[in-house]
Amino acid sequence: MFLTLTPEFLSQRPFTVLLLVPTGIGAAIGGYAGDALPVARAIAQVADRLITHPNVLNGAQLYWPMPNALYVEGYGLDQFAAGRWALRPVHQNRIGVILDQAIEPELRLRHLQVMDAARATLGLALSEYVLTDAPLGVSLRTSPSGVSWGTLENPDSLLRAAERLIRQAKAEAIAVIARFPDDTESLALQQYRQGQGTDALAGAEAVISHLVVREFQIPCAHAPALAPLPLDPDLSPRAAAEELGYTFLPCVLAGLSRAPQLVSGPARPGDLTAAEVDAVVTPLSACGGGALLALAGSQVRLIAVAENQTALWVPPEPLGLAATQVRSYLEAVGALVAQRAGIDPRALGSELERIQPLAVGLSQISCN
Amino acid sequence: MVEKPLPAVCLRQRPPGGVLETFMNTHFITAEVDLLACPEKMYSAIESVLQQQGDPLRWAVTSVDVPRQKLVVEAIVTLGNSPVVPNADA
Repeated sequence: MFLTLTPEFLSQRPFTVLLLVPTGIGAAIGGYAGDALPVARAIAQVADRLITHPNVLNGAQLYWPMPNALYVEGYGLDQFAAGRWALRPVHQNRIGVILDQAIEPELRLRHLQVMDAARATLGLALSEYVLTDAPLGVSLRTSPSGVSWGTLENPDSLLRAAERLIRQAKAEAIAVIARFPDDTESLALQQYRQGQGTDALAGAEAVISHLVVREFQIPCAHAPALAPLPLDPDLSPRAAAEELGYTFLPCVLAGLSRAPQLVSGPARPGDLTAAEVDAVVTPLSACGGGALLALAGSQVRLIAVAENQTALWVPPEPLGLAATQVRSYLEAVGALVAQRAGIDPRALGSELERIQPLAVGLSQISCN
Repeated sequence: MVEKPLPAVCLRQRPPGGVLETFMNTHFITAEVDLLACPEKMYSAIESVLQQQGDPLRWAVTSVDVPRQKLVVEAIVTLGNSPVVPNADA
């Protein structure tokens, strides 16, 4: 009988990949309605563990549960990458939902029916819901660089609602539904529906969820409440998932139901720390995010995808980040397979230079 | 150069029984940060600069000026206190 020495046999270290597509920067892939989800599905096939964030996995009515994917909100990801928090996988979270007081009664009822549907059809555990004690007052902005962002008129009301869900309803994860401004005539919305430009809502959504995660160290994700849009025959496939129904909530509830808890202090067996991440996949033009910079200097391999263009131009080189640059996500998946197999990607090309002696006189920059 | 945020509305203490007081505000800021030779030090350097303007909530480097060795960072910071009392019983 022969013993096959598989990579899994030789190394018990689970191959862990972090997939980033920053929110609200007009990413050509992942800047619309969960349209980086196929990328996540592909990477989840070649990784033991995939860590990614709601912007990648949320397609409004559409989502794709993956047993080895960890759904982590962006603020939590930054803290994880910085080594301050660890991820603790769970079997199920009890989800508490915050509804913005500004949501009209009919639209509110639509969301309540989604919550009931998630309980009845998916078996998710939801606590009672909470209405905010004031309208949240979401306003949308675009920064000089073209990144979307936004503000809340009443962040305190959001935090009070979250506190009630956590302390009274024993919620273990928080979904927030804020009433966003309807701007049906705007050029930005028209472009978005055609798969161009930047998602004007995404930056404000991130502010909302970041605030809850920062204050309570609890999984959180956001779904905007909006009036239905008129039918558009030219709708881009990349934006289409958001026009299938009345709400954007199903994917959020599905994601939060198994989102890892965010823990600090001594790690328990099974907790996942930044030291266990093997590779990060990110758009080439968006290498200036907190999570990436926090991982700088570690052993993580950075794979930068050129095809996924964004509104930014922050490549890895001027930041001093070593990266494997690839053209597409297909190529990125190949790079991950090679890494997992312990193969130098250069060995897969047609040209391989002869080995060279170490140059004399070159000293490495000391960062101490 | 650091662009200062709009002034905070207020930093009041939570009044007994009050529920609609404004404690916290969100602000957008931009800041210039020195481009460091050691990338592993940039994360904490950026956080330190932003903390002078508030409590960083979300940030990213949005451009790099190599000739001047500067980074432009756009950020959302919060000013004021959370209305939530940590570990308080409901």
